[in-house]
Amino acid sequence: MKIVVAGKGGVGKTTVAGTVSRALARNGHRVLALDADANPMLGISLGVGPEDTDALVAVRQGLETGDSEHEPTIEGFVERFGTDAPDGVRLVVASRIDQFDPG
Amino acid sequence: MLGELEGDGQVVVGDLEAGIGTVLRLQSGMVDAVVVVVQPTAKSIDIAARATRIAATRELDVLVVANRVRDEADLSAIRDALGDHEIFVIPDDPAILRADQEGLAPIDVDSASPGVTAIGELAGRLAGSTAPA
Repeated sequence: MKIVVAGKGGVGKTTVAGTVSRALARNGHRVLALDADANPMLGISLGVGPEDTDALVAVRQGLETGDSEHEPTIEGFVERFGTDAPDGVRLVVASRIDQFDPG
Repeated sequence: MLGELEGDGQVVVGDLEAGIGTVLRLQSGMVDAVVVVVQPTAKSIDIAARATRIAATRELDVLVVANRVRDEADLSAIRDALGDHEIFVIPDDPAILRADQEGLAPIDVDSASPGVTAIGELAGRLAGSTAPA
């Protein structure tokens, strides 16, 4: 199942996305949280803390400036560049560079 | 990236960029639900109305989340613009405000607060018949 959360900036979009993710995980779902916001703060609402959230953003910047090698598959990307949030949620910050996209 | 991710056996929750940019790129069948978060302000309601219209033209399931609702006037402003959709109300919640201030997850600040409880109910609705993996 895939869910996206949209809205104007500052309305609580990220709070809703993060808390929905944690609640689903507590109910036994395997959850992958994907931060596609230009100002990625989902990690904070998920509870990984500001430092780890910043580290994920740095990973994405590395990818976009070509400092890091790309993963051939999306699963590899999530495994390599994602981080674990509480309750078993896996968090990945989306890259705009879709190297694993064949088309 | 969203289109590539496998949704079977897991729930993918995407926090989109603010505004309607990414909503415009969603295609029919790409996601199971679009959650549109709105506060009782004119600008926020305008963007939410545009996002829900776009999602509807792509036959995507839309849920509206009315956030930081303080009273009936707040809610009726949102209902007037978005009443065609299922609306989940998240009350104004000091625990969520505190989480924002301290850089914590609201669910870790108070998992039983009114706002966190309401978001939990939304999660239950979204999961629907999907059994845990």
